[in-house]
Amino acid sequence: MIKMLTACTREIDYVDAAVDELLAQLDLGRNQLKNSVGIVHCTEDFLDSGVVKALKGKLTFDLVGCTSNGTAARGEFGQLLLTLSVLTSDDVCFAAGISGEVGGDAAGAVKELYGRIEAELAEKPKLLMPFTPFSPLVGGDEFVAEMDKASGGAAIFGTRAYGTTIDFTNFYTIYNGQYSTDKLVIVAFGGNIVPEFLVAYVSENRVFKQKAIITAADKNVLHKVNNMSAIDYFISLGIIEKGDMRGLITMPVLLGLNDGTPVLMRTAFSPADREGSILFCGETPVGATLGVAIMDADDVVSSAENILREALEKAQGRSLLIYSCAARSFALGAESDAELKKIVECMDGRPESYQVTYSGGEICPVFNKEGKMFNRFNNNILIICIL
Amino acid sequence: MANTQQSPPQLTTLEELEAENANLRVEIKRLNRQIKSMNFTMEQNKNAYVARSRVSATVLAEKSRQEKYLNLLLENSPDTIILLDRNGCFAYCTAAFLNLLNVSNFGLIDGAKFTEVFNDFGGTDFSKRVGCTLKRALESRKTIRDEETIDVDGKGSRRIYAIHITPMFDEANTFDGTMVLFHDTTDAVLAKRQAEDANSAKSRFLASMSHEIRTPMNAIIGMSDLMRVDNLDNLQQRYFADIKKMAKALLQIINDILDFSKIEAGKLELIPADFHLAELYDNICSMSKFTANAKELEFSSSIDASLPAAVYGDAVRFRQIFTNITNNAIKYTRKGSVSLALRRHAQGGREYIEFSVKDTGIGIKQEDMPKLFEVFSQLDLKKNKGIVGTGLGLSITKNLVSMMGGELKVESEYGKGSVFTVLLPLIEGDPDNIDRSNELARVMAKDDATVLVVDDNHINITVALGLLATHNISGNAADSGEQAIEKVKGKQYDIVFMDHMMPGMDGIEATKRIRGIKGEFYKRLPIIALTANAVTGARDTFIESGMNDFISKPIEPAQLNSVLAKWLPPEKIMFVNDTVKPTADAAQDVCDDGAALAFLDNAMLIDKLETLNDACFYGIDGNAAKMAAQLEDSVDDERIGGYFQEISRFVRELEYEKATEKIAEVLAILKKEQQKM
Repeated sequence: MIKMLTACTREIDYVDAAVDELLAQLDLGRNQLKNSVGIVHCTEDFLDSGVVKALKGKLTFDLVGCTSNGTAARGEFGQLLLTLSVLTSDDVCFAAGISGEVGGDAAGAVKELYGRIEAELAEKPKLLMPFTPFSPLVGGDEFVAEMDKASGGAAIFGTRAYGTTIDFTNFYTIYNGQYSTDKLVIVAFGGNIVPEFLVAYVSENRVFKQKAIITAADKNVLHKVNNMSAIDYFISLGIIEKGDMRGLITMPVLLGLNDGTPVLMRTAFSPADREGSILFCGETPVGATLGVAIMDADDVVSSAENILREALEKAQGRSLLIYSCAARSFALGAESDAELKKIVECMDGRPESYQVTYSGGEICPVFNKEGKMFNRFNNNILIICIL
Repeated sequence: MANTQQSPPQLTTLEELEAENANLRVEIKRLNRQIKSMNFTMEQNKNAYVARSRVSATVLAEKSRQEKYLNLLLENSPDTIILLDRNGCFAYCTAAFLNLLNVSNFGLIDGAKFTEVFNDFGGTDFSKRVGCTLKRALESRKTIRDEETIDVDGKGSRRIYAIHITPMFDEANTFDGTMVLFHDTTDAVLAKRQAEDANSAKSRFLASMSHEIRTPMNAIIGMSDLMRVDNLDNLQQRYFADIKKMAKALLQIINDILDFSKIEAGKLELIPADFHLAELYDNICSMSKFTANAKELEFSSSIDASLPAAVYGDAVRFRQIFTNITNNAIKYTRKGSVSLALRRHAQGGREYIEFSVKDTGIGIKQEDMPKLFEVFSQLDLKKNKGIVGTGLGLSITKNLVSMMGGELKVESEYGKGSVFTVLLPLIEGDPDNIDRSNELARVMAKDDATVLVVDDNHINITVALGLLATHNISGNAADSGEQAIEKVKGKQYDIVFMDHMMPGMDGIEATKRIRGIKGEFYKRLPIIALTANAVTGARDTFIESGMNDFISKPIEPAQLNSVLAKWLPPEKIMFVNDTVKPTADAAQDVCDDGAALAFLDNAMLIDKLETLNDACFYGIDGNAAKMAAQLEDSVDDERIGGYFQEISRFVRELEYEKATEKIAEVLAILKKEQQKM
């Protein structure tokens, strides 16, 4: 059984005050159990100011996490907020580590890191919790595939780093006070843990009826749809214009893999070349059916509320780790905190502890009709792990 | 004036200044972070706004495009589509309906109750009916289909419409209106009627042809069966035998053509019943052996002992299939052998009767195999010159096998021989159900059996009376439906043989009228259809019209025997252990007691004279002679005794015309006396 202690602070500049605030909320002396790991999410401001490093200095356990553009815990929510969840348990053990610079070699980085943490755990992990870098060279799918291979199919639940810079730089993974734009961090869980997973997709009635086939792609780069360039296809739908892809990033792209598994959600990122290809936040397999949806604020908030209520029925007092795609927040418009606010409202008065964070890519197991598990990297969804 | 504004604290020390500076720097950092955060949010909002605007524009454009196509679809739909709201008022209709109503604009009927509009469209009754259908559709929550014929322009041009009424429900499953679809099916209905008429015409043609062809064949075969041959010399007997053989061959060809026509028209029906398979096979083997030996061919046959004694199937068609294939084998084999085999065969989980014929005949070229079952074709014409045939046999056989769910296979080597194998589904029969009526002993009627033959064709009457005479029956005749009714009213017959197709009142109508005569007797009177109409469904038609049974022309003596045994009163018949001999000689064998008749009153005398008249008219020698002699001996009346002597003389001298004249004279006297009484 895992207990989740949560803390949060908005104090960025006065490091000691921030750390004191956090420690006071945790009351580790009274609450900490045999094994612990801390998960921290914040903007890069907290890293730059030294709050995270100072915090690690006061903790006796590993501190992992990544930057984000919004987080919530303990009744507080917002962009300029640091949330900390300390997972502590007597019968679940944790092993955390950080890789070297990934560069373009996800396989090498994963293999090496996994080897270390498995050795530390001294057993095959039941759950891996990765915090992957927002790398232009390695997509989330690749990290997931390598972790899947290395672990022999353990459940993988985690997130990709995100942040608040408009140019998608300065998105960091965090490990024990260090932070990097190109290093993978993983926490492995062993022992008495039976996690449960839930996923909120876009509502079906928000999906455009036009469906197409991906006819050419190369990992994250979508070249052709229905044998026309990707950009031309989306222009033909009327949702972008020539030379202006704005808006597409806010529209979930749904890929049907025709293998009995749930739909794969993607976010279009930017033009990839001059030939009309588009860079996506995850792989776009050739042969998949492609559909486009529109999400507005109501969709985002209601889907979050619905999936959370479903999770709470299952949780029965257990703790919740929640990641919601940053792209969902784009649809909220001026009320950019509406989703976090709704989650906080729903959790008000509940016994379950929670930490919810915006994500640059959601990693979560999904199940086919036969109940077989597939670890997947998605965008534009909300994922929940009941610990 | 006092300075009310509070002035900032005076920072006097460096530390205080540095602390303040640090605070300000922190504050600036905070503000910068806020600005950065706001910029980030604004940028996100811009993206989202652009997306929403574009999508809205796209959705609107798409909606507009769909609406345009929907409008095009509806406006050009030939069908009438009407949407009624939940109150039954017009909410929408297609232009097709407006055109029918001769209304220029939907606005003129928008919101109008459907009853108002439909009253104008199809009348108040039509409107009421639609209302009832609407109600049924709503209650059942399903589409209800109906059909209406509507005089759309009020000038008598009636069109037939299929009407579909569908209740509509919203997401909350609440009734939200009704869709009414009118689909003009007039052309389809008319086309269907034309097709049905054509089909009926085909059936009538088949019936007519069957009748027209079989009627003279009935006469030829019937009379040749009745004809005496003991007074012919050897050459004349041989010629006569050839005439009979060719007549039967011609009948077979006619039957083949009729069968082929029936198959083409889909009118051939299988009539399965229990029958003895081995007996049928034996019969075929016997006939085939005879034919094969006549060509100096060796013949052999075998039968699988595991086959059941009785099987269920159409024995006539089984025989036809086996005979066709066997005859073909014998026909196309010049030397060597023909062997038949009947086996049990299992295939695909089913049991079959396997009939195979192997011959050492001319064989079939591989390239000719596809043509083997084509109609009117004979293969290898040069080599087979002189072999006669219609070219229908194998085609008919294949069709029959297919209808029975069987299979026909051919293996052949040109110049060496062929094996034809037929698989027919094996369905075990019940031996107790086998119809043995054709194995009955010969029926001979006692003198008081009365039979009426009704046929507009005198030759057919002659044949029928002749065949009845072989059973010691002196039948009466009527040559029309009307005459039949008169005769039946005047005399209580034991059986009436009724021809089907007669000019004026046909046999079916005559039967219905007879059944309608008051009295239980007429309901129970056995009426047997005597018909050349051998098409599918004919039997059912006869039975439904009130007839009891039927026999087909040409009359098979065995079938006539079976009918007489079944329908004549048992006390008026006896059975003779003899084969059914369809000759007039047979009439002489039995019951020819020549005894004088008992006392005859006027009515009985009239009856006897009329019967004698028929026998003379139709040339039934044996009956005529016997009855004339009996009457001469029995009538002891000075007034009319002389007539009977003359009649008897004329009959003995075969001067039937003079005999019938005399009969007419004495009948006139007797009937006049009858009237006075």
